[in-house]
Amino acid sequence: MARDGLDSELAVARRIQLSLLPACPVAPGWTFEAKYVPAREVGGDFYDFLYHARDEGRLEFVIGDVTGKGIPAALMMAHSRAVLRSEAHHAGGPADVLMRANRILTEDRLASLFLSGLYARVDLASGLVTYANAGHDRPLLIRRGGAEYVELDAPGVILGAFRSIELTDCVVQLDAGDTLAFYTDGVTEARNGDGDLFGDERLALAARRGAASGDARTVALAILDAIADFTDGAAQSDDLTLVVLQRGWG
Amino acid sequence: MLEIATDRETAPGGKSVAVMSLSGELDAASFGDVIEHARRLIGDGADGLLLDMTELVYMGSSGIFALHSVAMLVQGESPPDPEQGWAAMHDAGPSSDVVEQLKILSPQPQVDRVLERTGMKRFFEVHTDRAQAVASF
Repeated sequence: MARDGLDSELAVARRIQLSLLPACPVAPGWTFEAKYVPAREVGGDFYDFLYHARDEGRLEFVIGDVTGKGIPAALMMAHSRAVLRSEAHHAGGPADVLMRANRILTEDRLASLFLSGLYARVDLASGLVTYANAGHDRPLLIRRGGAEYVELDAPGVILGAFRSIELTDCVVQLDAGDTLAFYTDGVTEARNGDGDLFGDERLALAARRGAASGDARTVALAILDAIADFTDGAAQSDDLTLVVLQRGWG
Repeated sequence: MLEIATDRETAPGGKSVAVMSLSGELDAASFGDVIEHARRLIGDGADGLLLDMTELVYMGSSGIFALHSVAMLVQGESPPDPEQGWAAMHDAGPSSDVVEQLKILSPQPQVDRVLERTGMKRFFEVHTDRAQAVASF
């Protein structure tokens, strides 16, 4: 009976958590896709899309990964999301958003959990992307056609652990046909039955194949399919999140 | 699975350095063991702690929590209790300066990548030679 009650509450918690994840934005000349697969009923990964004055053509989004899994991570995820949303309205650039959020998270010290996060601002007209990285996995930039790709490096420190951190804004230009893929470490650290990790190279290969043949959704599905093939039924040990954006041709 | 071996060295300046050699995988199942081993070593009088990661093949995000907690221990602070859940902590954790009393030895590529990505290398010296690492305390 107690187990049934817990399962029921977890099911409700899962619905609530999924409701916190927004629908992908729709913008002319761009495609977006987001995928979230928790390892348990609830998890610590999240992403969020924020608009600031749509007529300015600016989109902002964040992807994050709380240390740990299950209910504690999910609660921290909800709190972190709210803090980031709040600070996004007051802050300057992406680095400022994350540093302001860090101050709040270290002061609160809820559940003693940390998170990695990456915050990005996209100029939908020019394709200029400004981003800051707080200890998160390096996003993949895939140039049109899929032949050329690079991991975008940005120095950073995880949020919620240290009182004072310094982050810097970085910029990258997306031209027509270029794709940016953001992910959590549940992607690269997915394991097969032999304990091998999916890894960066398989991720890049899958992303490039997707980018060579389709839009953001195609890229995301190509990555998920590659993970499924690789893990071949092995139990999922960590939350898995993808956010992909692609600048179209017109 | 994680195996932990410990031994002691004395730095040229006389400081007692406890070496914790981690072998296997540092993840959600094993991070608590690292913290407890560190707590005992520091309680036994170690002035500094060297984490030998030569045989550590994997470190997940729980490993970062363990590093943070051990850093607080070597600085004489109480690390957060992961079992306390929503209890607010007044102690805000280690300062942003380099933690002199905790150093890392020879992380393998995956572990090194995690240390780099999460910014841990800003706070902990990473060495590739054990003798030099001990001498740096």
